[in-house]
Amino acid sequence: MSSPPRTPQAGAPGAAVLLTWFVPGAGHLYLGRPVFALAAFVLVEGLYFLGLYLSAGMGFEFLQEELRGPFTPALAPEAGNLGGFLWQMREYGYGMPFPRPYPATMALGVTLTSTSGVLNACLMVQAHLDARSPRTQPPSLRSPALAVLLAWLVPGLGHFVQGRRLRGAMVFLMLVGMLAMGTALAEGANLSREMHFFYWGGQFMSGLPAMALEALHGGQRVQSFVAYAEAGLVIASVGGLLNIMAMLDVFGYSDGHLAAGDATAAGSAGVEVAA
Amino acid sequence: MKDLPVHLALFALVSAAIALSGAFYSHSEDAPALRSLPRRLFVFFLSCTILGAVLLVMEHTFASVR
Repeated sequence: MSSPPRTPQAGAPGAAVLLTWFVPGAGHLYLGRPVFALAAFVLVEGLYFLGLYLSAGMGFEFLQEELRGPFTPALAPEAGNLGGFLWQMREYGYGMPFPRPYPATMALGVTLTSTSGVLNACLMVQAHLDARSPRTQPPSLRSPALAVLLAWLVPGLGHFVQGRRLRGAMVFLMLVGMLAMGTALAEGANLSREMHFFYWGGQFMSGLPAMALEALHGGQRVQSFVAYAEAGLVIASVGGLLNIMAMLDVFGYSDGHLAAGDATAAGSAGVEVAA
Repeated sequence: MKDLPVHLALFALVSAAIALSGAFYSHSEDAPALRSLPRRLFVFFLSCTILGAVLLVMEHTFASVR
């Protein structure tokens, strides 16, 4: 029994992913795509360093004293951009040994550094894909990396552009509903990264809905006892974490279809060569 | 625990979301994913019940202050 024909690889997928994780764009430079690499580097690192500037590098000072450890912030979305993350840890770390006020643009700054981490994760998906199956066509909405990015931005949108509209609608209603219900139960107290560093990271995986809710209702002072604050916090955070599963589902579907297309194309090329 | 029904209702809602996410992740087609939902929900509830029972037993055995 003969094995299916293999498409030529542009490089080692694992190496491309690791390089991208450390330095955005490095994986594509390794794959011989310098223009894409430069654009990716400028976009992802630009977002990270703009975020650092706006937050004065104080993002990890949100962590309570007893939670601060050498690897604790690695659970934050910023860890998706390992180079930027390590830079921030080395240059700013947990800040000064005395308390100081956060800048007015703090929330926007940490949102940008976190977005940079998620964007770089999508870039790692693209690097893995480009290493396995070099393509000449421009990226489409159905490409795995772009579909994953859309699935993060709006839960269900990745499924929607894949043509799986019922699933997309169900994922959207379920996950955005959990975020909204959690926020309502916690009366907005769940939206503070300062109060809930790790739970905020979970919620952030709900993408734009979480950012919009934070922009609209975040930063409010808790005036009275909130009966379901913890339940709301957990529900909103679990909704974000479930979106990671939805993103993996989107990736698997796109990647499977792409692999099937590649195998068909390679098969017909083999037939033509044989003829 | 006068709000136990509220907590149980919230737990049921979150469980449904977790089971549905698992079903979608395991099946690329919608129909088999939705068909597997009742079994997944049953397994999830059963597992959580067993875990809760074990935790209660451990709490009353090792963490009791009486």
